[in-house]
Amino acid sequence: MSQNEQFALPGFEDWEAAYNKQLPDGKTVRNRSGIEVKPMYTPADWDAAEYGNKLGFPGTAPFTRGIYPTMHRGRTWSQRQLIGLGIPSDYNKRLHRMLKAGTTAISMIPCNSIYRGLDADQVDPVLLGTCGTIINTVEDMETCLDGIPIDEISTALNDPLPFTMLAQVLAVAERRQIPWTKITGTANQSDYISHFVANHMFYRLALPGSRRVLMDHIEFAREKVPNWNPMSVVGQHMQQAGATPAEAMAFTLSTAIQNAEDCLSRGMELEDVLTRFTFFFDISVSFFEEVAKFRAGRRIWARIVRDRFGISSAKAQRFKFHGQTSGVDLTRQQPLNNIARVTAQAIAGIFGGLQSLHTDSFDEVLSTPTEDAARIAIATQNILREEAHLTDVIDPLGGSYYIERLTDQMEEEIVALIDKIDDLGGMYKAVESGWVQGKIGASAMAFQDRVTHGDETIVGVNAYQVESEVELPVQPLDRPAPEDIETFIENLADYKRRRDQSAVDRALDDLAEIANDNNRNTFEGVVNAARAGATQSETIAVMRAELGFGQPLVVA
Amino acid sequence: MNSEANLTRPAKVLVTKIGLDGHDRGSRIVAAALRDAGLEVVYTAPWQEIPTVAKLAMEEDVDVIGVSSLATDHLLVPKLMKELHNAGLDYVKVIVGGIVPDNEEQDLLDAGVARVFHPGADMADIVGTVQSLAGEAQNDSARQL
Amino acid sequence: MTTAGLSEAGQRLVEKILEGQPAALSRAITEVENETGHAAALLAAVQKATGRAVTIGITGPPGAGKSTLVNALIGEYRQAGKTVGVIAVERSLVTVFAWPNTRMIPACLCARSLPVVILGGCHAQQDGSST
Repeated sequence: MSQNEQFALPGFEDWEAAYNKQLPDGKTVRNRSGIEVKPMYTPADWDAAEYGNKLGFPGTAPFTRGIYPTMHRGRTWSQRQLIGLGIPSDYNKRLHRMLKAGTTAISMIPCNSIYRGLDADQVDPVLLGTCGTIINTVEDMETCLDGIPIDEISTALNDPLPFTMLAQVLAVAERRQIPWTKITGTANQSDYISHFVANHMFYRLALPGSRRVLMDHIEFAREKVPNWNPMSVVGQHMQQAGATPAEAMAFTLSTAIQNAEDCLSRGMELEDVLTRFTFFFDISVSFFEEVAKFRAGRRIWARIVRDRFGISSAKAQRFKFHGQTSGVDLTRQQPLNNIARVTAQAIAGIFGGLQSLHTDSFDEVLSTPTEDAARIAIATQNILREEAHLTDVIDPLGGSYYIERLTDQMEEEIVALIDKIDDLGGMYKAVESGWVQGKIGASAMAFQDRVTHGDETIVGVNAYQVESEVELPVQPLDRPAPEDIETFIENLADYKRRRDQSAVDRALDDLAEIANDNNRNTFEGVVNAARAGATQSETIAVMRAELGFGQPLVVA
Repeated sequence: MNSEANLTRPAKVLVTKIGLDGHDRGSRIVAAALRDAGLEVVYTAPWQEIPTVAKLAMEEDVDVIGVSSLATDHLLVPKLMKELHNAGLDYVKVIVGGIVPDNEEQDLLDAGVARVFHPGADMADIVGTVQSLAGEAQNDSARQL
Repeated sequence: MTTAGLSEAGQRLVEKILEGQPAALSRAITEVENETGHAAALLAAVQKATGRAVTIGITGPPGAGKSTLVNALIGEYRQAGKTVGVIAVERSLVTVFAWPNTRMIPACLCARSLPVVILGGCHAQQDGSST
């Protein structure tokens, strides 16, 4: 049945006439991806006869309804809240409290200094430990994970390549005599392309070097840490930088294709590699669009794996993803409103079929979250599951005329963009040429225009403004105590004096050699450097010196 | 030319980030808005050292510096103000945009920052403020010929 | 000797330029770039001290290595104790974000300390070229 054909539903025309009479100047409504959203959807928009072809059943192709047969009924999503602040003992304390409160998996955020590849003694102390935990050495990592069974809890690490944090975790596992085969988790920030293009926070090495280090990391993990997910393809950064939901999904899938091809070129067995690919997405407050985005993504990825790479196993076709509610949608005005926003975003992610969820704290826009706000964020997830019973039914929006039609339309948009990137020679080339960055920028500016002109409403900001804000009790800012930072820096100096400097020098020299030898594995060098006692900054400095830092600001 | 702001030439603004943060969506959008309003914008990558920013402000002979800040990078701004003073650049106006906790905003203003913009700030307000600050900077007696 | 058309402040500026002070040079460039009322007088005053420079022109298609060459030359001449001036006509366009026709000025040219991107400005022309 064509979309334009009026389904001969009795009453449709009467409804349409009544609607147009009451709203003669009805404006066209478009979602963030630019797709027109009608006031109502009927069987004319989606034919249930398409069920077998378009939806099928969860756990098998086309996977639209979910990647596992049981979905959240069988295994609820991981409540993987980001934790990162202060010094390692601060982190450890909060981790224990969050585990008690219902977090079921770990996601570590290191201090911004670590993203820059700097140790605590190289940075203005006022910047330390305010947005993440300062972890410079294996000893620091030990403290962070004190009393935590890392062989039982999945640990996502938010460190970009060359993955010095994972190297530290592996060294800790060794010390505790835990075999690396027991380490589970994900390299959440392994997507160097998204860092180059959209979130320079995580940017560390020039593109060509990054490409190699990622492949080395995947190879190393496959062999030595087989239950670790070395590849998380990240759509979050691009969407937060301004890409529309359809663009974010398309660019992410194109990156995944690029990485899969790179793995193939390396001679890796693709089916095995793809089984360990995971994805990481932003969940905006554009509710239905997000649900449709994830369902479309799931369907498209399965098809890509099957048709483009010729792999028919369900395990390799499964689109596993972690969702994070989007901080970009949160406002500073009336911050408690953010609880409602995060709830809407979380529900969209759950209905979208995610495997892992982080909910933002309402005070995210004010500063690093306080513990109370972090507790509300977790409680939100618990309430949605236990009280609202959102997990009782798999893909509950499936079959909705709107959702199915929108899923199809999102799929069309996404596929068109993937095709365009193919034309440009693949994602790596598209990024080198600046095309992707241009698209993201244009979408960001278009969104800002809509906000400025009131076409996009943000409650409390450009509509429903409040004359005088209700004063929130001023929270003491969650910053590490200066004495703690001082002690940390002293301990670091002490550590450097005590350690076997010649072992460190040897490991770093070897790492430099490895970086210049394409036949050797850079990540192995990073792990050895950690074991030998090198700090993360020393390791990254070597990588930068040998592989180059590059210039993400512009593309010539 | 914005005659209200008393500009004798197009306003010139340096948009930069100091400290550790790397999120630059906001600074890029502000730079575009300023450009569209006819200003000249000098835009840098993030992670600039404070002495470098002062030197660049001098080399480019800017009227205004816009610092985009997330995390605790704004805590470095008073040090920037001091550096500008030592470099003889007191006439340069400084604004800060980004995430600045309420109870730390006054510290920035006390250090000489002209204005702090928070998320959700009106773009026209930002542009207008930069124009009028540039006008003040251009008419500063230290710069008259 | 008074310098025609220049105020006292203007004359002081010229003195500072001739002493080699970067801030003064930067200030004067602003006047010239914007073709202000002071520009002609400043140029005339400074011109009296010029005429002894060796002028070298360097040109080539994008990617030829002009910037690299200029950078190397600057280094060599400075080491030899010479002062160097560079006038760059930057025609290459770059893509940054969603900004079309944006100029990227590499750090090596002129006295700039780091690579920057310039948007807008009185001398941004239609084809994106600039002086």
